[in-house]
Amino acid sequence: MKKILSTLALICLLCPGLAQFSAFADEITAETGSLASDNYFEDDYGDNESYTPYNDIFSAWNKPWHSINDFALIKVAKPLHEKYSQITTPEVRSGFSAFRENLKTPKRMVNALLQGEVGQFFVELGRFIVNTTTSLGFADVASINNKPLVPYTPENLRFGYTLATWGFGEGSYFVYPFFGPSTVREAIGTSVDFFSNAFDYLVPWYVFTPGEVFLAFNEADKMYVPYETVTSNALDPYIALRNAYLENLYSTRPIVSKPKK
Amino acid sequence: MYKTLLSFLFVLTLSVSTAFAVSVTPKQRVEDGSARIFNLLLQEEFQNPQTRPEVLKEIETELISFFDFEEFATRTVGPKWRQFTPDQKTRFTDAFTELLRNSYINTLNSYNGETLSYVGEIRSKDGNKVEVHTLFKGQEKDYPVSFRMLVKNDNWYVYDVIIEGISMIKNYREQFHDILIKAEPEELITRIREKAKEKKEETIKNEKK
Repeated sequence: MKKILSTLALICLLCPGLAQFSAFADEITAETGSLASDNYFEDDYGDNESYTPYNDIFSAWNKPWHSINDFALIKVAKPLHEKYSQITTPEVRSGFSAFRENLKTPKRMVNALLQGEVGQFFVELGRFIVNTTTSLGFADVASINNKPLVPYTPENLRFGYTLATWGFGEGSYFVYPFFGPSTVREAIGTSVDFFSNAFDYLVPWYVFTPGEVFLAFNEADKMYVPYETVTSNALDPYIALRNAYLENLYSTRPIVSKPKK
Repeated sequence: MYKTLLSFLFVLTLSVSTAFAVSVTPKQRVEDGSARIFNLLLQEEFQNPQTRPEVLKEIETELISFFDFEEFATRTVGPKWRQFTPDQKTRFTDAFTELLRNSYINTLNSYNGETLSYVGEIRSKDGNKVEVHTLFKGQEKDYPVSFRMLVKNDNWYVYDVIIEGISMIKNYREQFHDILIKAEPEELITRIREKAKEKKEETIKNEKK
């Protein structure tokens, strides 16, 4: 109950940003040898005057949280994780990673259905059964020698992406406390996805919360390595991270047919 | 007579320039360029600390013949480039090239035999710009990497690298734009130099470890 309330509160907090939803850019097709649209190469012209800044109406909130997240990740999580890596083997760590991924299956199945991706739904179901029965999810058995009938795209099976397939734009950039860069839409998505975490319903909260923290910590390197790649060469890490996050998000946008005017 | 000679010369230069028109495709250029660099990285001399600087020099030569750093630098500044004096332009390009070199020298160490495979390309209408799409096969994951290239001196040169949808030019441009709103070009150059120096010290520190 508390969780529902806090999520609702967060959504309310983010609502002003919803008004700022950006329109979808023209779809870009990148088939072999195809011709670019007129303005495809335009944004890299050195003398292009039309500069459109990113939507960052929450910058007063985002900047301090960026600093706190940076501290938590680089000064706290990274040194601890490096120690942890010395006392554990890669097999142990990847086992816990696989376990964590497997627990997220119900979340992905729900989103597959909401996106109308029936193929993905059954891929998830099959993977869940195979991985759970063979190893309780500690090994990704389903991926061994796997030739999937449908391309498997687990990274898209999240509520933020579901909203995107329904036509929602990204909204303003938003730094999620301790979760890192996000947008209004993705932050709502992350919050909603909490509800479909199977782990949460199976065990009491005092097991769930530390368990979740441990599983996230176990693969902290998946966060700080790309984070450092982006920020360590930057003159302004905040802007570099915002740009990298948003550009990556735009590049994985679902193709949505635009409503007819 | 003079006129005939002149027109003859004119025709000659024309035919020469067509003969020298880009003979390699962007695809060949990317495949060849990446293969050369990957080969150098796999050499035993690269692992040996004593012979390492020599290999690094060779890699640098390859990179210089593959990338157009001037084009790179200009585009990261964008429209404000026109406000730079010629002297500032040179110093900016040098400082920025130095920053790129010092930043990416560390990533060369983590190369482990990964390959780059061609996926496709798209061309601009006039045909002198192209974006080559490739897939970098990593240890655990594959990364989409695109090279934006243009024709210069009868060859294709890379002027932007887009990794997982993130354009390097755009990422630096965002940062430089923010600095140039508040400060003069001179300050930007100083800050880039400081960052380049910081990265160099980091590299030395890493090597000592």
